Amino acid sequence: MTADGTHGKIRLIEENCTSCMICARECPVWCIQIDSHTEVDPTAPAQQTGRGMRPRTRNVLDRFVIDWSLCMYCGICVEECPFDALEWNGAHVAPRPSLDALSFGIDELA
Amino acid sequence: MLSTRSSRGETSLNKDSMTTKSIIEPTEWVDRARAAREAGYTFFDWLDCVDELPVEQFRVVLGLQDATAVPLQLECRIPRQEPVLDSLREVFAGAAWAERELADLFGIRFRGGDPRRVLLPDSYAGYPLRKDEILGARAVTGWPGAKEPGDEAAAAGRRRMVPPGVPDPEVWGDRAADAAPASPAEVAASAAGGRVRRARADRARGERARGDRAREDRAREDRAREDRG
Ligand code: SF4
Ligand code: SF4
Repeated sequence: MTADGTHGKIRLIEENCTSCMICARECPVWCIQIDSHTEVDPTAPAQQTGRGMRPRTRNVLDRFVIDWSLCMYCGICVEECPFDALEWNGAHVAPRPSLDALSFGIDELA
Repeated sequence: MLSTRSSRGETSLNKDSMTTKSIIEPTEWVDRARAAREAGYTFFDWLDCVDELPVEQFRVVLGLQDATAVPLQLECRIPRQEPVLDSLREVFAGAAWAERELADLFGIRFRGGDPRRVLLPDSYAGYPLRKDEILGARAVTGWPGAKEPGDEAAAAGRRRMVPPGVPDPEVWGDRAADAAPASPAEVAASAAGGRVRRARADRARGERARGDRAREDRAREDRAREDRG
């Protein structure tokens, strides 16, 4: 539930997102698409692994799309995100001239 | 107040919700509902069904209330292969609506009920709330959740994610032509989603590869024989 009580648009708080894929897997209508890659984290010390010392890596989010033409505003993704990277963001998105234009990326979801 | 002791004596009183539950025989379904109504449970609240796979049965549950909204639940189990139950419409006329829904969604047949469909078009084949119902469109759509974080599928180990509703191709779809059709329980279990062993996919690939190797071996032997001959 939001302060204004809507199940409308959803905001992605990009810096909180770890690309963990949980929301994409839990979404009942498969409308969240995520691309990410792994990068060595130069600031973190190396760690002991089963295969010896390895540099630490972290996931970097490349693409995060919610397709509003499929989303049913159930809020499962908002509930399930373990990193509070998704939150309600006011009214539904306005109509668009095409279905493609209803797919919002990282910038439009901010 | 109505005695809720069933013929099998399986009566339970859930203290928190104060719901009285009775498990009864399908043969006493209508009689027990009528007795409940006469005992004061005059409000038909709901009728629903549970597909109990891997147990080959459906559980049909009737929810009734009396004037003070004390709930009563009557449950019976019917076999999945022969899901037939007597209609409650002569006891509670409104039950016919709920029975039509259960007929559409679970394929329960209500003897003496209203046979018309209520939710699904006549052209729809199958029963969407049965656990072995295949979500066909999902089988041919790429699942966004199949990717691993960081997208390093190769590093993801031996277990991969599969979406719910899409069965293992070896169970449904690519099943070997000479294999007996998968049982409903097998289909339902393979379509539960979550993390599964890669072995499934690997096995199929492995069998193909073994077939190729066997063909290559035979070809090599043939060539060797020709060379000798
Ligand atoms: S609100 Fe529901 S349908 Fe929409 S993206 Fe989130 S999980 Fe998917
Ligand atoms: S569940 Fe949250 S952290 Fe994980 S990918 Fe989705 S938005 Fe990012």
